[in-house]
Amino acid sequence: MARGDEDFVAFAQASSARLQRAAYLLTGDQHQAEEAAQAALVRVYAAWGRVRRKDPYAYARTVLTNLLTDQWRRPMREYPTEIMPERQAPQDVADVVSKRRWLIGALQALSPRERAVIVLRHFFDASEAEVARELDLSAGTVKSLNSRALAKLRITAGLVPPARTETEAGVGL
Amino acid sequence: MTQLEDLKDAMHSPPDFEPAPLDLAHVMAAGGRMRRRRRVAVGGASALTVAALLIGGSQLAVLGGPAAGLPVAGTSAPVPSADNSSAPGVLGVVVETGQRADGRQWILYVETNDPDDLDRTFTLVLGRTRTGTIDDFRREIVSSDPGAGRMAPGFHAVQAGRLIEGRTTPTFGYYVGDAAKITARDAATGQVVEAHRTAWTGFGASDKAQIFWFDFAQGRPPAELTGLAAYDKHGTELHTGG
Repeated sequence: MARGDEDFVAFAQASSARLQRAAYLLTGDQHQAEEAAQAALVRVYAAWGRVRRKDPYAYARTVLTNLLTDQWRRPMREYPTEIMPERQAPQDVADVVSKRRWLIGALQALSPRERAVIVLRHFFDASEAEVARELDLSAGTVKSLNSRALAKLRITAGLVPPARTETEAGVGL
Repeated sequence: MTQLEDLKDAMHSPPDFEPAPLDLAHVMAAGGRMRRRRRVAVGGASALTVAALLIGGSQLAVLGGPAAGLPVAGTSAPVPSADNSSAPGVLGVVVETGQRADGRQWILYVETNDPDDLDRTFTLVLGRTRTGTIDDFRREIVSSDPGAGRMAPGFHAVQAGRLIEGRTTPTFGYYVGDAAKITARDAATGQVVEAHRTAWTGFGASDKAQIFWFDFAQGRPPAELTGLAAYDKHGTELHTGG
């Protein structure tokens, strides 16, 4: 196996799961996520000679985003909603898995553009400028989409966490 | 843990999701095929030439050349494959409409996951670009017929013009067949209008189509067009498909 191929194998094995998770967050569909992550890696391998010495992960992220944002570029298929799932009762908050499940559910209820911004900004840790470039949006739009989405998710960036109290069920807010 | 960290934690460990094992052999085989197709298509063009591909003002020959007698809508550049770009699967010419919105020009091009199976994968894209380089293509409307039959004679993937966030899009589509003229009727005025057409070719000798689009006024509501029809050089109406 050529050295370049060995490098790609290492890259693909290291990044596959993360790309699949990102695709799952963007689509909410496990099968579609697997296919999209694989399709992105196919394109990364096809361009490996060019991207391997740059930032192949950023390239993979861009390809994946391009593949999956087709849907929200079609206006007829965008159904944003202001109605979010009810947040779980306080006793459920103690359950980490249930909190994660609520957040992922709430993420899926965002508009596709809001969801894409959230995933790029807070899963991939891309800068606002990078998100704006990859989604072809202005920096101001990215900022407002991010704020609106976080508000829908009942998240205030930088909020000082409330005091935690131990409960019989575990850690609660 | 802050709320934002909770969100990040949830996104990195989403419940009910387990990543599938990577099929590395398939990835490398498919990626290798994609890379080889690009090399075949690009031929002797230098890497510099490929990197410098611009739509506007290109003097490079169109891959396969336009069909005889066909007008070319704006200037077209050869973009046989986008393996060398972040825009996956672009095949054939990129059609420049000459119309711009928000600093980006409307373009039409074909994407495919498998150039050897266009009948199932031919997908027409209306996009926009600022620089004209493939990396800068942004999809706005992705249009394709469901299933197979996408290279059968007649009209395909036709999309009516619309307003998207204040941007006017053209009515566009592609036609398979030897049309010398494509027309439609403006429902408001009754006037018959003629489409711009650009010849499109893939890798195979029979991989031919015409990408067409109708004039539109940027920023104004698009005309409602009906009665789409194609005619040969003798004025005889051709098969419309369906």
